[in-house]
Amino acid sequence: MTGGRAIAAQPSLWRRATFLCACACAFVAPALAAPPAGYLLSVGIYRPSTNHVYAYADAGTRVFALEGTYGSSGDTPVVADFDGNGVADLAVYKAGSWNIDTNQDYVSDKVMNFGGVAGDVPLAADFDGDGIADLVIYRAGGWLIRSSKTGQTSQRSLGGASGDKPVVADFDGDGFPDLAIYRAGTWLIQTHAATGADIVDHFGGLAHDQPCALDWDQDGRADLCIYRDGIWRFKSLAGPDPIGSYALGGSGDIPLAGVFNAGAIYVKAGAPLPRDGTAAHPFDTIGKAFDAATNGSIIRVGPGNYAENVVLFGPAVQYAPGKFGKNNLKVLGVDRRAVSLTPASGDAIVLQGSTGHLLQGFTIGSTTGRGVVLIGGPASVSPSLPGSSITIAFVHVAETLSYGVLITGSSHADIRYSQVNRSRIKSGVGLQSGSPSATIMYSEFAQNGYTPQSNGDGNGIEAQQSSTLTIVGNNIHDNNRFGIIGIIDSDLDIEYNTVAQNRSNGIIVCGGSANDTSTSKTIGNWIAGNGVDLGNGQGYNGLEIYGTCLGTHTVTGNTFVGNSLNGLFVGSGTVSVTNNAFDNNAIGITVYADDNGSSNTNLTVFGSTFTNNLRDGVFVQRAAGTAVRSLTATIGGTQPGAANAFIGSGFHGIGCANNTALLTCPSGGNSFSANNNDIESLCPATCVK
Amino acid sequence: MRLGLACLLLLPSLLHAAIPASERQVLVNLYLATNGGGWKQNSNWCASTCPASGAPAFAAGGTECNWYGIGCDVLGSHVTAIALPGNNLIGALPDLSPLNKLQYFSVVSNKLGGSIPALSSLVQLRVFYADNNALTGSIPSLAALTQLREFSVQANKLGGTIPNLAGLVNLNSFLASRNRLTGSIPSLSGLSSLQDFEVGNNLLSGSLPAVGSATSLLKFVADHNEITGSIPALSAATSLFQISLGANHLTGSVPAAPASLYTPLPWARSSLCANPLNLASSANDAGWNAATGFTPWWATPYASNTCDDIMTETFE
Repeated sequence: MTGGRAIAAQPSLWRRATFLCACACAFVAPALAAPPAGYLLSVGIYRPSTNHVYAYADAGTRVFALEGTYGSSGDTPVVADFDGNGVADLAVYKAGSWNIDTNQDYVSDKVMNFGGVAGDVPLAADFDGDGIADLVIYRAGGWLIRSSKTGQTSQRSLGGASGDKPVVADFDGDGFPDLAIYRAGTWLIQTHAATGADIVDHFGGLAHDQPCALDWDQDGRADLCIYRDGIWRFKSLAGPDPIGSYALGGSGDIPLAGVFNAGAIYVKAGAPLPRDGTAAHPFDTIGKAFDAATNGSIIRVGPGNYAENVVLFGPAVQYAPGKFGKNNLKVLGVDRRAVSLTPASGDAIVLQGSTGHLLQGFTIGSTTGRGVVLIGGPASVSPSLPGSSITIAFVHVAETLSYGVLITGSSHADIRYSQVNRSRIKSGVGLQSGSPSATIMYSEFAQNGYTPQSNGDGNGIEAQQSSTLTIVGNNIHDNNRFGIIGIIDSDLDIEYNTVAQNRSNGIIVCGGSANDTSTSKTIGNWIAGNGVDLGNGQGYNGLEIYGTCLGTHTVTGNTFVGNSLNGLFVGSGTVSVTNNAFDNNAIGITVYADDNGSSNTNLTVFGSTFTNNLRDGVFVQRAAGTAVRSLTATIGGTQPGAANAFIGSGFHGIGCANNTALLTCPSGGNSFSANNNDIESLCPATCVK
Repeated sequence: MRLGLACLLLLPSLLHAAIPASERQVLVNLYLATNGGGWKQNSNWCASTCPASGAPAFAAGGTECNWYGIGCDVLGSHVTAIALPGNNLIGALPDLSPLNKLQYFSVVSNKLGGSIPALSSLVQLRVFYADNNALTGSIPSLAALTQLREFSVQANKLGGTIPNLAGLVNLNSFLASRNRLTGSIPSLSGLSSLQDFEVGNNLLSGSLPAVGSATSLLKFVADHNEITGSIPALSAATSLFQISLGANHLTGSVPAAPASLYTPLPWARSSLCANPLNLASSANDAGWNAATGFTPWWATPYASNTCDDIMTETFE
C-alpha cells in the first residue's frame, strides 16, 4: 500500500507533468478520468481442481468468453497472445511442455517446450515487440525469455527468494513488459534497471493472496492486483490506495488476466488466401475488414505494415455499390510496436461523418499527408455529414508531412496515452474549420514542424475557429513554434501538463485576428524553458495572452521556469493570476496595453512567488502614447493568501515603464527580499510596499 | 511515488535523511522483542552479521530504510512499511506508537504472542496484517485510524469484543475469523467502503447487523458463532457475492437472495445451514438454491433443516 523508497528512474512521458510539478506547485493532479468507453477488460479464473476456465469477455458485462475444461491435473495456466491476433490464448504448462489453445475450443493447437526444471514457473509476454508473446520461465530468481521472433533465449535477473511469485506486465506504460516478484505483500518491480528492482511497493500479503497484474484503470500502465479467494483488488503504483475491486472466482482458483473477447474481424498483413476475416483466415487489409464490419464491430489487426489509406465512412455515406459506412468500430492493433499504418501517399486514416470509433495500438505515418483526419459538420469539407468522432489510445503518430491528427467541422477526438510527434511542417494536433473539439490526456506532442525549422509552423497542439479543447497531463515539448496555441474564439482548459522547450511561446492564447473571444484556464502546469529560438533578440514567453483578447483567462497554480522572455505575458483581456511560481525567467510577468489591443488590460496577481527572475518580477507597461486602452492591475493584497513574494529580482520586484497604468500594490500586500530594487520609481504612487 | 521522484530530483541534499530516533527505537525494540537473531531474514539490520541471539550492534543511523522488511517514504525520513511475514518472529510486538507515518504493517504467519499494541497513534495506517500468530488479548481501538483500509487478524487467540468500526469510511476489509471474539457484531452502518467482513469461527452472539444497505459489500462471513435473531434484508446488498452464516442460531424466515449471490453459478459458495430458520415461510428460492449449491437449499440432501455448511463448502 505504500510507495517504497526505491523509485523508478524515468517516469513515463505523460506523467512528467505531475512529477515535475509535485514539489514546486503545491497542487495535486486530478484523479485519472474514467476509462474511455469501449475498452475490453477481461478477467478470468482457472480452477485447478477441475481444470475449468471461466473468463469474461468484458468485466463489465460479465459475459463469458471462456467457459470450458482445458488441461489436466498439475497444469499451470498461462494467458497471453501466443499467435499475435490480439486475443489472449490459454496455455497450460507442465514440466516444460506448453499446450496452447489459440482458438478457444479447449483443444491444444500448438505444443512448445521450454523450461522443465522442478520449480520452474511459466509466464509469457511480448518482450521482443513482434506482437506475439514470448515464453518466459522464472527459475530461482532468474528469468529466461525465449523470443518468438528469433527463438533465442535471453536471461534477466531480479533477485528472488524461496516462495517468491513472479509477475510480468507493463507497469510503467512504456510498451515493454516489466519483471516483478511478489513476496508476501512486497512487490519488487524492475522497470529500467539492468538487475534488481527499481520500484518497491506493498499490496496484499495474506496467506491466500495471489498476485496478478492488470491495467484496471486503463491508463496504459499495469496495476498491481491481488486475488483473494474470489475478490480482486487493484492498486496503481502511483497511489497508496486501491483503485478498484471485483468479485470473480473462489478459494483456490488462479486469476487470469487478458483480452479474451474473440468476437472480432481479424486482419493480418500478408495473410494468404482464403481470407474471410476469421482468426484462421484473416483479411490482409484493414479496408477489407471495414467492408465486412457492421456497427460496433471489433477489428483486430495483427503485426505488420499496412500500406493503405483507411477511410471510415459513416452510415450516411454509400461508399461503394450497396455498401454504407458504419459507426462505433474498435480498430485494435495488437501492439503499436508491431503494427504500422503508412500509406504510400495521402492520409493514413480519414473519418467521413463516422462516429464512436476506437483506434488503439498502431504506429501511423504518412510521407505526403496526414495521420488521422476527422471530417464532418459545418465548415468542414463535408458539411452535410455529421461530425466524426474517435478515441485514439496507445497510438504513435509520427513522421507525417502535415498534421498528425486534424479535427475539422464539428468533429471530436479523444486522444489518450499516445504520442503525436514529428509532423514535418505542421502541428501535432490541429482543430480548425467549424467548432471542433478534443480531449487530450496523458500524451506527448514533440518536435512537430521539425523541418525546415524556418517554416514558422509546427505547434504541439493548435486550436482555432471556435474550438473547444481540454488538455490534461500531457508532455508538450520541443515543437518548432508554440507548444499550444488557441485562437479565434476558442475555449481552452489546460491542466497539469509539462510545456517545455518549445521554440516560441509555450502557450499562446488569441492572436489570429482582432476581438478574439477565446477564453482559457491554465492550471497546475509546468511551463519551462520555452522560447528556445532567440532569433528575435529577446526570446519568447511561457504563456502569452495576446493583445487581441476580449475574454477572461485564469492562470492558477502553474510553475513558470526559465522561459527566455516572460513567464507570462498579458497583452489584453481580463486575467486572474493566483498561486503561481515564476522562477528564473527573464521577467516573471509583463502586463501591457496599447491602442492596438482589442480590449483594455485587467490583471490581478495574488499569492504568487517571483524568485530570481533576471529582470523584473512583474513589469507594468502602458505604452507611451496610449490613449484609448487602459491598463488596470492589482498586485497583492493584505487578505489571507493574497500577498505575493518577490525574491532576488535582477532589476525590480515590480517595475514600470511609466506611471500611466492604474496599478495598485496595497501597502503590506507583497513581500520583498533580496531584489536589486523592490519597486521601480517609475511606478505610480498607488503601488507601494 | 510521483511526489517522491520530483522531490528527489529537486532536493538531492535530502537523500540521506535519517528516520527519527524514536522510530529507529521501535525497530530496535521489534528486533529485540521478537528474537531478531532468529529471523529467517534480517539483512542490513546489524552492523555486521546479526548474532543468533542477544542484542547485536545495529546498523548505523540512516540505514534503517534498507533494513530487511522496512520501507520508508521517498526522502527516507519516516518508516512507512514494516513487512515481515513468515519471518520467524517469536515474542510479542513492541509499542508501535512512534511510527505515526506507518502505512503498511504485516507480521503474518509468525509466532507472535501477547497482545496487539495500541494503534491509535498510527494515524496513517492503511494496512494491518497479523494473521496466523498466537496473539491474545483484545483488538485495540481502531477509531482513530481513519485511513485504515485493511485489518486482518485471522487465526489468532484474540478475545474480547470487536471494536467499534464507526467512522472508518475507508475500511475495505475487516478479517478476524478463527479467534475467540465475544459480544455482538458492531454496526456496519456508514462503512461505505467495506467489501469484505469476515468474523467466522468465533464466539460472537447477539443479532446480525444490517448489511442490506452496504452496497459495496462483497463478502460477509459470520459462520460458526452463537448469533441469534433473524437474517436481515439483503435485497439492497447488490454487490454481495458470498454470505456465510452457517452454524449459528438464526431464526425467522430467509430474505430474498440478491442476484449477485448466484450470478453466475460457478461461484456458489454461500451457506446458511445449519440454523433453526423458519423454513415454512422460506420459499424454495431459486436464488438461494443457486447461491448455496443445493436444490432446495434447505432440504436436499439434508432433510429437516440439518444441512451442514461444511458440506456446502465442499461443493465449491
